[in-house]
Amino acid sequence: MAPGDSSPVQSEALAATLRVRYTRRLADYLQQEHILGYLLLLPAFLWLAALVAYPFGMALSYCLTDIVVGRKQAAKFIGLGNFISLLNNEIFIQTVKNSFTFTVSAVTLKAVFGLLLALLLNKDLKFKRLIRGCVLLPWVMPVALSALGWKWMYDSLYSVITWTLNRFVLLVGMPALEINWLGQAKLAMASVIVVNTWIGLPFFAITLLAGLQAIPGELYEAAEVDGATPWHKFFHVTLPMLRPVLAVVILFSTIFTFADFNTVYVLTQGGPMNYTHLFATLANMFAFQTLDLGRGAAVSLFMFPLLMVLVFFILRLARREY
Amino acid sequence: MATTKRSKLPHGSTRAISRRRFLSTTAVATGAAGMGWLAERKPPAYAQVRELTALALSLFAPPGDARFGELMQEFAKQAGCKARFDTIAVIQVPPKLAAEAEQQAGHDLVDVWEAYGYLHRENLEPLDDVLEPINSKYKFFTGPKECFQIDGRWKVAPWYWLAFPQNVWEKHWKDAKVEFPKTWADLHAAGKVLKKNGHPIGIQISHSTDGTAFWQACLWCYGGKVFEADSKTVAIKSAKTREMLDFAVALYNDCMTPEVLSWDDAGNNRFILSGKGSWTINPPSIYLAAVRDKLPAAKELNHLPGLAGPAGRHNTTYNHGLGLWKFSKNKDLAKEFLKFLYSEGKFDSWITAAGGFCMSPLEKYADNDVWKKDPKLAMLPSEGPYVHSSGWPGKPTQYVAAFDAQFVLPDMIAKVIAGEKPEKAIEWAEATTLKIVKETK
Repeated sequence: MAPGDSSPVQSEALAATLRVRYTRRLADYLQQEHILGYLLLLPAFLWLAALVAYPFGMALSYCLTDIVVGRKQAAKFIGLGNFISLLNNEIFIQTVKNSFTFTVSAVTLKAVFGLLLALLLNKDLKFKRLIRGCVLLPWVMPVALSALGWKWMYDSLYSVITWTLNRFVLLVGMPALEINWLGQAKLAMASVIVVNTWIGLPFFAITLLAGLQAIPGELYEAAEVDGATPWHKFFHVTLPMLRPVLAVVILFSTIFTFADFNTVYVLTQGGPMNYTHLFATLANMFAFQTLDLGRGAAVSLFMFPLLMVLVFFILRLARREY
Repeated sequence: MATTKRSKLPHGSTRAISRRRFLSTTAVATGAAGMGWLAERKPPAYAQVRELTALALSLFAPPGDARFGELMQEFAKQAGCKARFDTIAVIQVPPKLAAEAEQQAGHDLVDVWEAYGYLHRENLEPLDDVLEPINSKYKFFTGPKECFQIDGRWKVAPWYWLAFPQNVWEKHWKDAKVEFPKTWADLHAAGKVLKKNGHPIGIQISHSTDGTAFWQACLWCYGGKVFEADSKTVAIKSAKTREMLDFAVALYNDCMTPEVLSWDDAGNNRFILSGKGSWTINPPSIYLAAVRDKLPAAKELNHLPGLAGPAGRHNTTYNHGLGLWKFSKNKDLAKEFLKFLYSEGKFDSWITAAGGFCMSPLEKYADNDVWKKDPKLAMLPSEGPYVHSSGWPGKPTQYVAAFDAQFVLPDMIAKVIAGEKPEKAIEWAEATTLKIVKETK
């Protein structure tokens, strides 16, 4: 019988059969892990493509041109011109030094104190949950708000830190201190490092705490049987077992710290004498205050190759088995 | 009950219009209507009520913002349109302007100050047709003209300028038995005594917008300049700059405390309001905040005219204006609004609402009662003839924007304070400025 000859009832039956067949075929597809996996990844992929890959691609295309905000049509391809110009820029060179000092110091402090805090939180303390909640506060607070709080604590007139130090200093009969936290180059850098460490410490502490809790208790018991001291247990059980988590946390923190903007922007605007400028604050200055989008993009992407190398080595370290 | 046209289905039963037919009919109808709108290149009727939008920084005097919003609504009522006035923190304005310029979409009128007019000049609609008649009738002051007439055309409509008088805590001066200064040298002499009395003076030598502005005024008073009148030739390396630099370092050492090296734009406000400081340069916001919050400073503070130096009296300012984006869809409406804004009874009512904080760019409204009611504000309009935009005697160009954004002037002074030789600091400032001119597009 030709298809055109079928009655409406037959057509509906055929449609129903096809529907069932398609549904089954779809179910069969979805039962294949490689298909379902990609499907489940799709929303996250689209999200990242829109919010990370697209801006990254734009920045990449901008940094190779002399684009100025609002004058897209006049932009010309200049290759590595922006990068070469930056390498001859004194403020940029200072910014590179600042960024390394800032990142290495802050990440080291966060790693050391974060680990200590995690070890402490791993003990059976009273009010354990409350303490863990409180530890998270600097992490959950908006960074700009924290930085504003610190700005008051570093204020030349109203600094609570100076006030507290002076209570001790006066007790021993010494003259009161006048500490210019944000006005002296080295002190200003130390001050912004402290703020970044304070903000980022909970990320280390809580993640490492999760890592600590995943270490099987049997390993410690076995070590004790072998006569291990607490130091031995820390260096030969805890630290090796934590290494993958620690590596990933250090990796994330290094990237976040290199990209920090709020702390410096709120506290010092890159001063005094550019001694606290970071890549993000300098990029902001070029892109939004002088509208030099190309150079702003070049500043923000300058560290990208180096960070890629760092990511490679840290992830390799995390995977290495002893 | 409403009657429905019923159709006979193939298998004999009757029912309301089928879903498929309904969907196809409505889709065709919607498509046809859409094609019609597209063909006419006009939005559908319900979207035809136009909305005039403006964006500005939140004024220190909130009633000024409220009055501006009211004026927009009054205009909207007359013009049969809608109006919206958005205010944001000053720090958010530059990135917002950049985002709107880059997207070629956003508000119609935007708050543009100083070099931002020049930076965005290619995206701003010339306003000569609106402003020339206003200028003939009410006369703009020279400062706003210098700032906003770009390449011979009005690119921004002057809105207000800020006066930067001396702010003095009178009692500290009386206790120290020193005269109020008329020159920078007077200030140095008095400042030494004031500091000894525990009440130092202070202006920012830090990464702050105000610091750049104050020290540039000082440079002008000593006969120095950053750029020549052509706005491009770098002129910072000179004997005059050296003279000013030596003076600035002496003023810091003898009359200030190191805290000025860390101040942000509000640092000197806090310094004065605390009662510790005896002198600074600032718009009247310190005094107005003290009055608003009923602080002791309200009684003690007063304003004095700007200082003079060997090369005469010069002072800094921030000229604010309203720029109309070229990509605005409401250009005619915005221009009509500007005419409305400058009219008698409107602009002066806004000046009054701003409480004396915003100075009139038009001579016509410079005589507002708001500066007569409070004797401590009475001297503010007299600053008009002495104020210049950053970059003077040149224009506030893109080079000036970069020079200010890199805080070259306060850093030059801070370097000498930190121990660098003055000639090296000046050479550094010159090299940095030359690089800015070479590389800024």
